[in-house]
Amino acid sequence: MSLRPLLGKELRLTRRNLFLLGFLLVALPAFFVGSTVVFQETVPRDVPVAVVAGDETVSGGELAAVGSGLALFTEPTIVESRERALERLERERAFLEPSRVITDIAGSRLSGTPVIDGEVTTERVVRGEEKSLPEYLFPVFLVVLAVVLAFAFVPADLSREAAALDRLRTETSLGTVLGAKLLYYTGLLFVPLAVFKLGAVGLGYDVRPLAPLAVLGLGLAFVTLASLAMAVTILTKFRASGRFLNVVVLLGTIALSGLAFPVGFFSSLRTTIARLLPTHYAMILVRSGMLKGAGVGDFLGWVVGLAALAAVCLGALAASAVHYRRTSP
Amino acid sequence: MTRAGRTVRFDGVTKRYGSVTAVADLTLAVEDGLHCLLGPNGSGKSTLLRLAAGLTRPTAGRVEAPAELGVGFQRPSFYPGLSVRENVWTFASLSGATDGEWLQTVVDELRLDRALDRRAGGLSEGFARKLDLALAFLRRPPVVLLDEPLGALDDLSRERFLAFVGAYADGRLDGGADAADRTVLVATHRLSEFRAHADRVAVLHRGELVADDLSPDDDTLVDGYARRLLDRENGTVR
Repeated sequence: MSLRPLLGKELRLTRRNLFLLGFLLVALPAFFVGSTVVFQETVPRDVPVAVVAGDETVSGGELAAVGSGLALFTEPTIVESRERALERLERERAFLEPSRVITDIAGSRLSGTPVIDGEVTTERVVRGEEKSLPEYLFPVFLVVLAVVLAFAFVPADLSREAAALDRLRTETSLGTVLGAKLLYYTGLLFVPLAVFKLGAVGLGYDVRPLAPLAVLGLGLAFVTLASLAMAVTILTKFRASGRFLNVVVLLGTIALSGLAFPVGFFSSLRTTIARLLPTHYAMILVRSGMLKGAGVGDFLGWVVGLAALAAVCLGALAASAVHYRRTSP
Repeated sequence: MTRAGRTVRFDGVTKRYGSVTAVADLTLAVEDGLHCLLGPNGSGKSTLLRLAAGLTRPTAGRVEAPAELGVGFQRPSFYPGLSVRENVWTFASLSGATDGEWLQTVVDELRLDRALDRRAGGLSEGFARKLDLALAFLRRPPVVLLDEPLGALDDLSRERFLAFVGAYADGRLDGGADAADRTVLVATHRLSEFRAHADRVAVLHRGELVADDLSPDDDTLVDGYARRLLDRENGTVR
């Protein structure tokens, strides 16, 4: 049987789930896009804030009141003078001592041996474009949405076919049904991508949701995860245990992939775990494509690796279909 | 259409589920006409039909059946979330059934016209059975497998369906060039319902074929096959 009637079947089933699918593919991405605006006004908690009296008329009580207000967002420190406050806010310092150069970067001291007689200047260079926090969050939300679709919606949609599966299998193979479903929902990813694109244009963000590297990274990650989720559903014969397992993997993937923070912030164990997950690499691909304009060639090795993993997971899905046939009554 | 395209053949077929043998070294060929597979509960009838439909593989032996066949399942198989009409459309397109007149004939014969826009998951048992049966005939297949098709049907629906399936097996429902006999294999534990329409009967008991190619009017069956099988179990009849 050709894929066309199976894709037509998916379209017919979609019409029956239009509200839910519309929520997942349109409303939820739109909500994510809108919520990035909130982050423009947010003060991260770890930004140091010093509270200094502007002049001698400011009382200690007034200083404490300002500090209490700021405590809702950060951890303010009351400092005796403006000069001392600026000194404490410095993150990087380089200075000379008579016999060695000592560099102090964010509180970590590094010692060196060269002796330099003269002025030392430092220059801070930012490589690449600077992005705002909302723009940074764009690819994060997109990958989270893809993970939720792969591990929550697609297996639930597959479970709805359980009652018709015997009849479907007399018309075509289970493998073909699964392949058509995977193809259909991978194609549907363009809907939230389009929503993100419209949102970026509307909000004036400099992001490229439809960049080839981003689309490829997102698509390969989705195929990998959805294949695994459907294989679990088939192998557990549509039981609740399969749904539970998929939800556990969904939550673990989002929590452990390092989607929002660079993995260097984590412990070595968490870093190791993150680097074992395909979503970690997919996130970097999507972010690089959307925010930095990186091309497929810049990350060719990772793209090939993700593609190979996707192929392995597709093989696992096919094997689950064979196992289902062999073990079904 | 060739005879091979209307033949279902089981050659030394055995099917085991763990330690349970559902079918034991069974050899049977069925072609042309309406054939009944008669046997009590657990005799292996459903397993044989599932083997013929390719839904499960034999532990040993060989099953030959055409790729194009229709199946009426013991437990109705359709999309509960779709309407009756949508189910018919969906499976008609999946099976390549494009003859709108024939689809209408099937819907009419099975009296589904009253329920076309109802959600399939909310149908009564009788209508669910009718929908499942209708889906078996959509593509006008050369071979149809029906597993306990009359369960939950009311008397009027039973009579209409029996007349329909008998005419279908004889090729009397269409007068086209392809109006040769078709093969309908029915698994049932009530021969009386099919006696007037069946061409041949085979009897299964505990996974074994105990009688084959019987006429529906055979004395063995007229006496009551269940009693004969019980006597066999008790060792009073060979």
